[in-house]
Amino acid sequence: MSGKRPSVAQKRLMKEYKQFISDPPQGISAGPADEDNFLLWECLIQGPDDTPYEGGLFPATLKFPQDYPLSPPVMKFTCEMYHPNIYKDGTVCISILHAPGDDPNMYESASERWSPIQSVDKILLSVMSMLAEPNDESGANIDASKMWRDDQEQFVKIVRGTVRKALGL
Amino acid sequence: MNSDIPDPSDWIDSKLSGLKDVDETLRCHICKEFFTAPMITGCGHTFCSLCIQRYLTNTSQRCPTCMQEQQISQLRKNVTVETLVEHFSAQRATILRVVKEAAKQPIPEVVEPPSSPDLDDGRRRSGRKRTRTNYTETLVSSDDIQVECPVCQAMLPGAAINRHLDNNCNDTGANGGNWLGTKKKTKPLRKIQRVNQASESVANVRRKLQDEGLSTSGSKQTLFRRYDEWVTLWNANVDNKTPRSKSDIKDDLRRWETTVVANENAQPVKMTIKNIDDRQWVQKHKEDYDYLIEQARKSILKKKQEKEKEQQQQQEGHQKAVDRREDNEPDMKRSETEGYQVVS
Ligand SMILES: [Zn+2]
Ligand SMILES: [Zn+2]
Ligand SMILES: [Zn+2]
Repeated sequence: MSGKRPSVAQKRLMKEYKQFISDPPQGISAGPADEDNFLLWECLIQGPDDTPYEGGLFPATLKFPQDYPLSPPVMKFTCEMYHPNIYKDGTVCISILHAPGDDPNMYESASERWSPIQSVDKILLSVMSMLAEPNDESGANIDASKMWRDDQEQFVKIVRGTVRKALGL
Repeated sequence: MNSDIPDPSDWIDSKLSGLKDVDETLRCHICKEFFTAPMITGCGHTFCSLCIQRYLTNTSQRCPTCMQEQQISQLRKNVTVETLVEHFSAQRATILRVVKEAAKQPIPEVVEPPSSPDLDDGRRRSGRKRTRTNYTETLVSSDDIQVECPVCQAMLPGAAINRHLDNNCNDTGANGGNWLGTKKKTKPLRKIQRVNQASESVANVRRKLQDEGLSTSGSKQTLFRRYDEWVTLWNANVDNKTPRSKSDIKDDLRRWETTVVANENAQPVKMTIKNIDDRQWVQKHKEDYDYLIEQARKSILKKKQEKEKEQQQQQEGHQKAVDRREDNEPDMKRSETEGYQVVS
């Protein structure tokens, strides 16, 4: 023991990680960024098939608060992302990452919100389906939101550009 | 995988993989540990006393599982689950070892998890033969038989009679009671009241903290939060079958202040958990990562080459526009025959 006992958050994240790798969801890779800090994870999400994100692999970070799982983590893509529900700095805006208390998005029903019974794999699966189906009620990226509504062709073109960029092509 | 972190996935690949569900059911959805002082909500969901009280105090007044409204006062002890956890976790390591060893043996065998002696009350299922050892195990040892003291006529265990006589029939020394079972009762711990930040004065909260022997330093906000957490920790401890000492709970409070409060405004701490984590995990993760990137690159390049070939072969004027539905509903489905074109 290094003197400090692991916190509830740390212990829970170790268990989540162990379970995650014993049964990883298709197209998703995730784990602690380094062995000394379970509160920061790196993940990699495959772009879902039959969407403009197809073929892409998008790196992101999950930053867990000290009181996890009472509060949700913050997810941020570390590559350029063009999506109605992703802020320009990469931060993901999705209901599962909002606690039922904080309320920037009234349309989200409580059942879709963050609760300690959610988990990393559920978050990442939700983000994957968010890539496939943007939610046009929450515009984290207004430009992308408009483009997605009004000019699909251009939207797809921009997204394909980011897909290539994320892969360093 | 690392056995330092017992969790339901330990049962996967074992001969009793169904026990994964049992293991999972006996764990709290908040901390993923086996329930400690399990409490059941009005809606029928069970959590550790500490976990659910913390959640209902700090986060939301709804059940984490079903989102129904929930108050701390509605929580009730889940005694059956508590006992179940006790028995299962006492046997878990043994069962796991037995099933893993059984998996290595070529001839499949029926594995009977060893039953603990106190569950063995003689009402065994028919068809299972008792062995000699079982008989001797279930026999009451003579030391447990109550005998009457020839001097004072008190009933006491056979094992204790000699000491009793040596002490001139006076047994109140060792464990604070006589053999007739009038053991000194420990005072039951009482739950304490939460304070309402809107109506309670800072001076009152400071006095309460002082009465409990807790630190009274910090801002108004800090004092209220400290007392609130103290109430949570203390009341959860009261729900415990074997409550811990007050100084243990004070340690918990100090730990909470150093990990949660102190870090709220500070840089994320680096906590080293060398004995629990496993370098291989991180290594494996990194390899997966690199592999996936490489695969994706290859597949995109391949698609691009195919695309270019295809384009050369194709006649002019081919439509590459993305399908749109008639009803204007946004749709990102590509057409059946072509993938998304990579923008160069
Ligand atoms: Zn718990
Ligand atoms: Zn419930
Ligand atoms: Zn009863």
